[in-house]
Amino acid sequence: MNRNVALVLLLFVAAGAALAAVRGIGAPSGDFSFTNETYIIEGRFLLVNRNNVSVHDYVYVALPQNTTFQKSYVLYIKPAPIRYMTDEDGNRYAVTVIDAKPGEKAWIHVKYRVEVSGYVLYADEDRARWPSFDMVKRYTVSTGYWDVYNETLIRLAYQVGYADNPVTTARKLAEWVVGRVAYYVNMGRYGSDHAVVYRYGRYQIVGDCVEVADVYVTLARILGLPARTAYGFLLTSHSQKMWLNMSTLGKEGEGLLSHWGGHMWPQVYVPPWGWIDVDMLDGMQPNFGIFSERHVLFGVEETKYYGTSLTSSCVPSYMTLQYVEYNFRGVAP
Amino acid sequence: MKRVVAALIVLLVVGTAGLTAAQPQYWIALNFDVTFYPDGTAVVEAKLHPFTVSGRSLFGEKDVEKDLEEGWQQTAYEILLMFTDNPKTIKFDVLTRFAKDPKAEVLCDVAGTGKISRFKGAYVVKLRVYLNSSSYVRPFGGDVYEVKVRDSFTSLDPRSWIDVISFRFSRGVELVKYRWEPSFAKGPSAKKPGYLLWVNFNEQEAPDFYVFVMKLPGFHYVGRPAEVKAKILDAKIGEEGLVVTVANNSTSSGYVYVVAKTPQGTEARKVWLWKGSVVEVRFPDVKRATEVELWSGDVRLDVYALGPASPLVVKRNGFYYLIALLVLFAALFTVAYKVEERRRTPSGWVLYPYR
Repeated sequence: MNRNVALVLLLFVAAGAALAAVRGIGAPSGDFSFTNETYIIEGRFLLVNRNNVSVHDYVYVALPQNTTFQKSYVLYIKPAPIRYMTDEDGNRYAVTVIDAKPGEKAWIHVKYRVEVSGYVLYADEDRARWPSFDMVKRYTVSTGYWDVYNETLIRLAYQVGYADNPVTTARKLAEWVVGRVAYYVNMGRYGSDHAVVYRYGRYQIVGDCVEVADVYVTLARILGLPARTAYGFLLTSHSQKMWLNMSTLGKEGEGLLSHWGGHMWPQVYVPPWGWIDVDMLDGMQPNFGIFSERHVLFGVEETKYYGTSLTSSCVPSYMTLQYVEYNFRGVAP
Repeated sequence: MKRVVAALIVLLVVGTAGLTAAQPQYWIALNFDVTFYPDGTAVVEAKLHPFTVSGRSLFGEKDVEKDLEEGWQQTAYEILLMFTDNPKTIKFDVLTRFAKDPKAEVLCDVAGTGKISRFKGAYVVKLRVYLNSSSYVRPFGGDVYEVKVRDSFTSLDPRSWIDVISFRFSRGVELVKYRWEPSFAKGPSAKKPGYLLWVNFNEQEAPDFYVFVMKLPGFHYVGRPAEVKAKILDAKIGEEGLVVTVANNSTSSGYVYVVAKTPQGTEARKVWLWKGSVVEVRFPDVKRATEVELWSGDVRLDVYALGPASPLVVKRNGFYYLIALLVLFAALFTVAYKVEERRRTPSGWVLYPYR
């Protein structure tokens, strides 16, 4: 009798040990380790009516979003929004109104609380699956910035990223992309067709984070991996002030990066984990599934042909945006 | 109304997600006339009038006119994006590339003050759009279809909108019902049989989508056409998972979707096929599937039945480890048991220290 109990117990222990030895078995949440941070974000935007008539202006304010890894709260927006809206890619934003006489200036003040979970994904390739037909159809289409019919990029994607496993594909692409970045601040958006150039005997990706994200998304989509861009901020520390003076912006070049951390990075969709961040410019590493808590996400671009202008923090209709400032304050994990 | 900035920069993408970098130069009033025909075509006439916020017309100003003429293709794309997600995948004819019509009238609320101004003169771009490949058409059965018309200007930039848009339903087209999105936007300013008119004073009042259910007796919806003619040569499940062999028999290259139907749902890979190529597409994790489908565009090109008895091969390394470990432990216990039998005390109790 006792011997039987012992056998059963030991078999349990053996089975448990065996299960523990097998990588990746368990709930998906067990595949992640998290680093949490909570931010209080205070922002202000200066608008000027440079027209010689009074205007009744609708102003569109981008908001931090709610995702699996981020929880966001609007503490206030002044003037109070007339409504919150959702764009075609599912991003929430606020609409507020300002009446301004000629030459008049107006401030918009915002305050948010954002809880971010940075994570490291331990992705077992054996558990990775290719996505459903609906996901592949929706998130691999061609757009104005992600031209999946560019035959040079098609050859390149198959040469550097093709694999039988979606995780392998995502990793190979990240490794290739991060090794080819020729970074400079680009005040426009090239799109992947113009961001990949062949010079000095090799391919390079020219531009900034937007071009890097666009190229990665295009190559991933070519290989049938659902991909999109995410945008927001990448902080260098948990408490940081960022600002932009629009009148001096064009002359600053890379000096801009010393006081502004607006950012864009790609995400890919791999079951069973879902959307996975691949921010290669955070430390210039492939970073598939390595996502620091210094990111604050304001939105994603998915299917719209020309992307979105909501990458802007504040979009006035008639007035002119003069100055933008954000204060990020890390308050607690 | 669309805001045009002084430089090509619309976004400051600043190594960064951006802000508007350049100063506004002028605005364009946007008036559209859309006419639906029973064969499933729509003729769209865009009438544009540039102006300053103080209300001064810029119609006829050389630089502005040159900008608009050089940008006619952008306007054409914006028209196509009213009916599709991708302007490259919808068929259309250019009826008027770019024309200057000094007699046309264009309406808009210049500074958001609630007053409509009438501008004389318009730059005109006119297209015929074939809705049979539109991504915004849904067949409702029979001759009935839902057609969504998107305000592509709002979609691109939340502060832009179509100021005035009219819809005409020509003879043979029956408008069954209509609605607009979002619901808080305003409805039509004028309606009569075969005609609807929206006058939108501002972006908030302007619908983002105009949605019509119509009878289109001569219309056949096909969706996105296939990019290639291809077929499945073979599909089998083995130790490497599902392997599908696909051949492109056409003289063009393009994308196909290889779709595995598994008990858990579908798994799909989108693959580029060069003309005349044969490729193997693998799904390493698929151990059981009933059939494989091959799609291109919205067309199912081929289907390959694997049958309900398709082999289930457990190949996960983890399972192998698990089974191997269990077998190992079972063997150890068997040995231990035999050894133990020999060490039994006369009372039959075990000396095995199991606590």
